[in-house]
Order: sequence, then C-alpha cells, then structure tokens
Amino acid sequence: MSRHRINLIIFLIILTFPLFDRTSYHLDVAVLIGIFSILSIGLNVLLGNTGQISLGHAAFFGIGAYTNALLTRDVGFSFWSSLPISSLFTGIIGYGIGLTSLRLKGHYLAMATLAFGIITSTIITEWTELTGGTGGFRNIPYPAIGSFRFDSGVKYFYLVWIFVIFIFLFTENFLSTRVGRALKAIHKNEDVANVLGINPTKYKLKIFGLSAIYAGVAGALFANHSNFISSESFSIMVSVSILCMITIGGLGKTWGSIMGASLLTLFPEIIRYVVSSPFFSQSVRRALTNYSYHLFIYGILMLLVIVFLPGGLISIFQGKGARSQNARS
Amino acid sequence: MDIAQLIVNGITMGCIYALVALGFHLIYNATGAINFAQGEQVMLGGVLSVTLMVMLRLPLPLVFLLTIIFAGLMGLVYERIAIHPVLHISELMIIMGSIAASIILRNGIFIIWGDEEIPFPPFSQRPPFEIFGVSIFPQSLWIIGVTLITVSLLWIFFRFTLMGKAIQACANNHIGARLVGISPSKIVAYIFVFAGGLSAIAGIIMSPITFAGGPLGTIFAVKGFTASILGGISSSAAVVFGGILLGILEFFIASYISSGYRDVIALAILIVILTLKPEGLFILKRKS
Repeated sequence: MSRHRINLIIFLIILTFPLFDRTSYHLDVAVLIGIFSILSIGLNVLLGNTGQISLGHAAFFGIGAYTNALLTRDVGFSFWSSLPISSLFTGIIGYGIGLTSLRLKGHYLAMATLAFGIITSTIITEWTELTGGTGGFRNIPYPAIGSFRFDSGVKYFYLVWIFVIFIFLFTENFLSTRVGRALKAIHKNEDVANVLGINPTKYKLKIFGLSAIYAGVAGALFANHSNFISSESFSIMVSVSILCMITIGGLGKTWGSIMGASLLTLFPEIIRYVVSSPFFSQSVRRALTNYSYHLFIYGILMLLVIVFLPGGLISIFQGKGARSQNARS
Repeated sequence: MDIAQLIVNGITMGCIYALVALGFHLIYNATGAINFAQGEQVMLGGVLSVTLMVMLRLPLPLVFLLTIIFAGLMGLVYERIAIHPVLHISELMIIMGSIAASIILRNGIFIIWGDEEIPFPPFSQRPPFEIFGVSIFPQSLWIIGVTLITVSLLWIFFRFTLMGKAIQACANNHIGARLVGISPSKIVAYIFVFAGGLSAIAGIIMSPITFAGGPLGTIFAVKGFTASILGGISSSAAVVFGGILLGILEFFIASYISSGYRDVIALAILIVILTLKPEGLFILKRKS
C-alpha cells in the first residue's frame, strides 16, 4: 500500500471521530490536539530537518493568537481576512529571529530563542492595555463563513483538522521537493551543501519564517476557539512541551509530530479519567492530576527516546530503516 | 535611588550571575555545549539548603558542605544519564539531553518541595548598616564574600592542581589530552560535578534574597548565560566580570527605565550581543 493511501486512511479515520463521540469536552481535547499538531509540525520542520532549535515557539504561538484576537475583536476583521495577516506577521517576526541564526548555531540559537520566548511572554503579561495580561483577553468572536458560524465543538473540530491535513500535505510535499532535499543536505553538512550550490543562509531563514507561520496559524485557531486567551498559554513551559512532543513522536517526521502532540495532549486526560475511579485515594488523585508530575514523566520519556530510540516512537511503526535515521546525524 | 546604592545592589546580584555564568563556562569549555539544566541545579541548591537549615536546623557550614556534596553528586548522575550517552552523537543531542534533564529536575523539585518559593532566613540576623550613605545588608556581604572565596578556590584549583590542569588540557585539545593519558570522558564527568556544586553555592547564597525553589530557575539560567556571553564564555575571568556588569546594568535599568521590563531589556541585550559579538565584550579574539 502506498504511503499516500495510508495517510489518507488515517486522516479519514480521524475525521470520523465526531460521528462516534460528540461530547463537547472530548471534542475540545481533539481540537487542542489539532492545534498542537500544527505547532509540532512547524517546530519539527525547523528542528528535525535543518537542526535549528527553537525554545521560543510558544512566543510565535502567542503572537499569532493575540494578533488574530485583536484583529477580529477590536478592528472588526473577519477570521478569514485576519488569519493570513496574523500568520504572515508571525512569520515576519520569525524571519527576524532567524536572522540571528545566521551567526548562531546549536546551543546559541537555543538560548537566543529561549530569551525571545521569555521576552514575549513578559510583554504579554506586562502590556495589560493590549493583552489583558494574566486576566486574559475575552470575547474573541468565532470564525464564520457568511451566516455559518464555527461555534460548536463538531464544527470547530472539522475546521481545525482540515487545517492540520492541509498543513500536513503541504509539509510532506514541500519536503520531498528540491527545497526539502536542500534542507536535509544543510542539516547533514552545511559546508558540503554550500559547495553544492545551496545557500544555507537563505534556506534557514525561510524555514524559520515558515515554522513561525505555522505557529501563527495555530495561535489564530487557538484564540478564536477558546474565545479567551491569557498569558499562561504562551509560557516557556509550552515551548518545552512542544519540544517534548516532537522528540517523543519522532524528530524530522511529520507523523511523529502528530503522534507526539496526540500522546502528550491525551496523557493528562487519560490520567484524569483513570484516577477518577474510586479505587484511588484523594491524595493520589490530587498528586496525579498535578501538572508537575506530567512534565516530570515527559522529561523521562524524552530522555529515554533520545538515548534509546532517536527516531522517536513513530519509528516503531515505520520499520527498521526509519529508526536510526535523521536524529543521529 | 543613589547611584552608589545601585552599584552595591548590582554587585550583589552580579555575584550570583557570575557564579551561574562560571558553571556555564566550565561545561562549555569541556564539552562545547550549553548546560540547559543549570538553572534547575541552582534551584536544587536552594531547596536542599532550605531543608537542611530550616527543617533539620543544621549549622550554616554544614548546610553548605552537605548541599554542595549532594548537588555535586546529582551533577554526576545527570552527566551519566543524560549527557554521556549522547556526548559523541551531535551537539543537538547534547542540548536535547540537557533540556530533558532540566525538565526532570525542575518538576522533580516541584513534586518534592512544591512550586512556590520557600522563604529562607538571612544567614546573619543583623540589621543593615550604612557606609557613606549606602545601606548594606549583611546578606550582600555574605554573597560577595562567598563568591570571592569560590572564585579564588577555583582559580587555585585550575592553576596549581594536576586535575585542574588536566581539565584545561582537555578543554584545549581532546586528542592531545588523550595522548598524554587523560580520559576526556572522565574529565567531563568531573566537570559536571564541579558545575553542580558551583550552581548549588549560587542557589544557597541567593535564597535569602530571592527565596528558594519556585519557578525562578529558568530566568536565572538565562541571566547567568547572558552574563557569560556578555563577558565572553571562553574565559573564566570574563564571565565573572560579565556577571557583575549585568547585575549593575539591571539595577540601573530597573531604577531609571522600568522594573517590569527589566528582564526584557536584559534579555534583549543577550540577543543583540549574540548577534553582533558572540565571543563576548571582554574577549579580543575568538579562540578557535
């Protein structure tokens, strides 16, 4: 069976989800998985394919979210006209941050993006006239086409997952073109790529911009879904979670991003479901629903994957060849 | 506020940044990588010492000794689990390993000690005294004193002991060090022990000012890194000056520009220096 057909079947299965389960809480979780999938695909294109690390991805997510929230609530733009503006704006900022990566490699870039993430989340918290700070930004309108409003869980589920599929297909196709191969060459050996006539600087900048655009789209979808955003959703911990998602799922693999996003978003929900049984005492229940426990476990999982399964969990499904690729280079 | 007062406060804070920056410098020289768990190791020093001091009521010297030993051992465990297995794969994997370790350590601390800052009594209970109109808290003297002692001990260690020289040899040239019988893999492990202990010292002395634990780890790591980049990460003297310079700069920013945006400006300085002069202000030529 060809790869495209497998992709098609998996997406069809995902899209039938609301036929079986229309609990609004479950649909909210599914929407969140979709949004984190887009974020993860974006970071994975950057990290998995060019080896550039961003520890500030939540900042791009936040910039997209607040720009879109402001444009749709205060300026009166429709979701469809504000989405391209806010994602492009995020992309331009990403391009600007990418400019620092011209001189920086590896850990320097990681620190610069971490600093950028802290700067952005501090500004979001402090600039209360614009963002509402920790109090939050309220009454963001739902997206609509004519009089059709995406105001229910099912409608928003389809809206988000159609974006996920579109971004998935775009990324997969784009990675198998000349550009994608150039990126892989840069990741393997920048000097050799340069000799072969690939301009690493140009490609690295573009991919940083693209990664930020994805995060901007995710931010816009997130803002108009929850109607309410606050600075907490865009903290450094969110950047770290996205990094965990793609490492655990599989670096450099688009399905790995979706798998990682699903696993780490579902994990707290499953734990919450399991501990709600009367079998567990109150104190165990409180402990296991604590976010620190979850992150602690993600950290251990991430470390195990880095050391023992560098291709990520997705490589278990993709056969032996995929298991050792990409990450170890 | 008085300029002299700002400078004194800045130096106090700068000493802490200097210690954190020294940790970055040690590990950078030995492995060529940045230790992303540095901030969490500082936090560890704080919460360990608060436990020993407030709960077990041990005397201060013993608190220092036990905290440093335990944090050093944790540094060794960290190196063995997260750094050693990926040391020769790629720089990216070292970063990822240290980020994973930082997530584990940070949330482990939150699980055991909670995610709020824990109050920490000052080392000596005397009131602040005044010299030329500048009021100085006894804790400032503790911080500056401990930093001076630590930096001098480190200097003596690197200058005069065999192991100190071996570490330097290893930082200069891995293959050369191996040829004269030094095992780089062992040296890297020692370095992580040292850096763990050093971070713990920073964590202990800053806790009476900033409180122990809590979510401050990340910001202290980034500030310490800013200090090391400001000075020049490849030289130990430069990172200490970088730390003190950053401390003073911050107090001036907070006092004359905005205290809410103090961190933003400090980190913007980091990004600008990383972009324009990544080798640091006090380093004339980049070492290759």
